[in-house]
Amino acid sequence: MRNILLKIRICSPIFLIILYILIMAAGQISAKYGSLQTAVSAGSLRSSFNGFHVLSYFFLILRAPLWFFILKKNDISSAYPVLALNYVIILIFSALIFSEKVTTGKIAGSLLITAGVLLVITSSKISGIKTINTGSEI
Amino acid sequence: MGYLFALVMVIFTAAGHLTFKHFAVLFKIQKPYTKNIGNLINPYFAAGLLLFAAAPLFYFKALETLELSTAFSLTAVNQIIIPLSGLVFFKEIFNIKKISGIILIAAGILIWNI
Repeated sequence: MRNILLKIRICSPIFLIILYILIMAAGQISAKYGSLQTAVSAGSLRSSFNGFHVLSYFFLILRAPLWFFILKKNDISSAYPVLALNYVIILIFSALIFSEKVTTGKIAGSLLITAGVLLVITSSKISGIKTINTGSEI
Repeated sequence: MGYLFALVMVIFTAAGHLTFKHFAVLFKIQKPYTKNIGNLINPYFAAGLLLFAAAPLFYFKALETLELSTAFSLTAVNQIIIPLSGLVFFKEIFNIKKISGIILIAAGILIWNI
């Protein structure tokens, strides 16, 4: 019984969208990581592309089919706004990994985005709450 | 001129997402899964890929004259256009909660980029 619930929850749209956002962030982080390395040896064309750039393309290819499955089952007007969470995640990771500056504007913007995303999620079926309820009836 | 390029980028990205959505809705997943590869040859899929591939080129052109924060904050426009297109083209459900959420997100992106 618990297993059934867990399975449904993992397949719920919001979980897939969050996974998509994490892959998107991973792609951006590896792109930045790659560019930081090539910036040191700037000059030739060969040195402006490295393994981390390839990795960021890999993440791009990896997330495409995931977005397909999300769009297949969900409203684009509910799924797309959630992608804005990417701004919040990038802010956190850029501060943690690359020690970039966190400004008040970015924090305020992130809070607004998070509030907006929570409103969109609770206004639609993508929260997956309905799916979990159906599961408990089995 | 930079704004024109940015506008094209925004429209191409939105159009790309919408054609991809249309493709995803129409696509029927078949078994065995290898059968699906042939079905990927589809005008909507091709159009979506083309739009997604072309959008960054206009973004790069826009960046030649616009500041990064200006160009990047224009992506907030997509947060409004794409959900609205969902309402217009796919007859998706809208309520006050969703609309206020979308407005908050767009405002958040604008402030984030200041």
